[in-house]
Amino acid sequence: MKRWARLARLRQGMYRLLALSFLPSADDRWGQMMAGARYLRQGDSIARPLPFYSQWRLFSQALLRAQPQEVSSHYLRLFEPGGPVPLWETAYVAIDPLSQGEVLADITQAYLRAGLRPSSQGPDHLSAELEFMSFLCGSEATAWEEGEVTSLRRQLKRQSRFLDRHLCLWLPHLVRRLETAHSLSLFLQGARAAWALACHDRDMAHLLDMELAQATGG
Amino acid sequence: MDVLVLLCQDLGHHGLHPQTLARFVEEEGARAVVVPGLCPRPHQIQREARGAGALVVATCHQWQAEGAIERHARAAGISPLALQVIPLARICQGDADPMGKAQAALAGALARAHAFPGWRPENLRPALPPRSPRVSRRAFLSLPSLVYRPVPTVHRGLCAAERGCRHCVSQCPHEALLEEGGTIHLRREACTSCGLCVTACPHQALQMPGWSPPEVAAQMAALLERRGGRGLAFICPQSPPPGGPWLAVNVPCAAAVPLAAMLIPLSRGAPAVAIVHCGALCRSGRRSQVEEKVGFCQTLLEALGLGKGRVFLAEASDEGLHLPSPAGPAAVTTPRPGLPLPALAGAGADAAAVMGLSHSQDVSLLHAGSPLGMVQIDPQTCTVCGTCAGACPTSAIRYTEEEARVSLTFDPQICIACGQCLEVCPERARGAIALRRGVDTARLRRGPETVTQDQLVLCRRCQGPVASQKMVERVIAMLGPHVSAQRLAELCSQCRGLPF
Repeated sequence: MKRWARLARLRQGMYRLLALSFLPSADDRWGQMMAGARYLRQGDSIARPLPFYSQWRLFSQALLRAQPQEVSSHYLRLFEPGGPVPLWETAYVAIDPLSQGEVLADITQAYLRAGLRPSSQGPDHLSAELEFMSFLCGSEATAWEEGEVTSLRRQLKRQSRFLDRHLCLWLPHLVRRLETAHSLSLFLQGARAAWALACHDRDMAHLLDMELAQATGG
Repeated sequence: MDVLVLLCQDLGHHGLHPQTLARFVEEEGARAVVVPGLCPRPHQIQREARGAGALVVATCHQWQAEGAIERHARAAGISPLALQVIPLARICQGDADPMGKAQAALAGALARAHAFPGWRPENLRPALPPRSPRVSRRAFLSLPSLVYRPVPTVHRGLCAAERGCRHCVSQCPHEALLEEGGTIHLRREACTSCGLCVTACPHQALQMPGWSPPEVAAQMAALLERRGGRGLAFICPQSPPPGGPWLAVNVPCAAAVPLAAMLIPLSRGAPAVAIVHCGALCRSGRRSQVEEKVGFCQTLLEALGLGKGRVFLAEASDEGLHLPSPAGPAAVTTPRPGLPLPALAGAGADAAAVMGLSHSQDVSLLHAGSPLGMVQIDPQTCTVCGTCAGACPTSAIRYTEEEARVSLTFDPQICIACGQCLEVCPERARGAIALRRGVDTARLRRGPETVTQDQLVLCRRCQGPVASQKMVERVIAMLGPHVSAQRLAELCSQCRGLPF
């Protein structure tokens, strides 16, 4: 199970780095992101044959080449309130306050079920959703390491459900918006990498859950 | 699109000349690299293919371990949808001109790669190889080699589900497509990548990169240019490629081969067409559908006097694929070289292929396997309400109001025999509408025809349309003598509620 655990840990790191790249710039965070990108690059050989990897590599290259000042000014232009590219799910998938409420309730529910308390500052923010996926991948890695099939299946189910109902639904819209807004390569590649990773993980989590169910007779 | 072709140097041991083939590939506008020992050491793909947009790998024999090439190509950043593997030495065995066949196969693969439309992350789904044993707890100790299957996506801008089209839903053999609130949804886990929905969609709204009709058409066109007396065999990923005088066209499933793809090669000089069914491995499980379609094709060819054996169904087995020689009667036509191939899918493609083959010959036949239909409207019982036109996904039935007349026109060229018009007709029980599966080439050539018409009753107040005269009469007849016929026909639905 070591290799599955390793892949889950790598995905945990990928989601985390993606989450950080969609937060407002801060000096100390920038250093962490660079260190994280280099660290993940060293250990990402396990993900190389997976189809999201080419997109991930482009993001990682864009991150290592990016200049903090440039990133900061683009962030303000694109993502600050009133900017052309909102980073909230409800801005893309919910057209009226009622459905916005439904989406937010569903996300909050997912966080609570996983034992997390959602912050008051937008549970549907891209960074929050990616950070949540990072948390779920971490829990999955632990379950692989401990050989806990019940816990593992629970984590896999949570991942595929959350990705299917949220990230996979609105990331394509975000990518399209970034493409038309002449975004900095870092953000565009980041959104594309998140989309590719989310689509892949949704199906892989479902596949593993089904296979585990058959293997364990559950 | 940067297309790279990797050729195994060992092809030289099988009567082929890899360097000559590499020069041919470069003349066709792609990069080519001859790799020593590519077949025994496929990991070289990772180094050689880095940076390419699409990859064609020409090997000596078919790979034993499924996914080996795909895995190395993925590691080089190549999407599984943009990868083609041709067991070149194997397919050229038994051919009178092996180099000619190898060049034709490469030209087909290059044309297909150049037509690759790009892909989205949703177009891929991981799966475990079908022949691997079930994963057990113990098997989870190692990371199984995942393979990736194509999955179609729905282009919302082209999809006519909002207008009531459900053709893809009815065609899917695995109930993977669902309609909800005027939108088509795909249950990814139920999809087997058979591609039936992709070729069935009259609007080409279902897109499956790597297997799209334009890519198949590009491959067909390139193969037909260099056919040299060979037949075309449509094979799915489960079928072994044909040897001898046959050129392979890759399709997701035999059931997904449209009628147009069976007929166009004949009108472009190919002597015969084989549809290869993979037997128990079939993704769609719709062998009967293939049999019916091929049966219709054969009946049509016989009626046209071209010989029914030109299109036939073949079965692949564990021992391989053995097709009879396509030699026999000469080609149906001698086409002009360089003529672009007509569309394979979409409304009108099948009818155009039938007309292209029949020239001016008139044939009228009925057949259960026909993907074309002829709607029959009985002018005596049809009330010209236009409900059928509203439900028709291809607008083969049109409802028009002109001055004080209403009419229904029917265009047999774009009828896909989906039968949605029958389901909605309020007068169906009285025989107002019927659908006959078949083809009438004279009618196809005539194009749209008015099938019924009537006078339009106009509103006394606003002069807007009330209904057709026949509909008013029918409603009055149904309501009985208690309702004033004059009153019912006087005002339109908008004016009826207003004080007169």
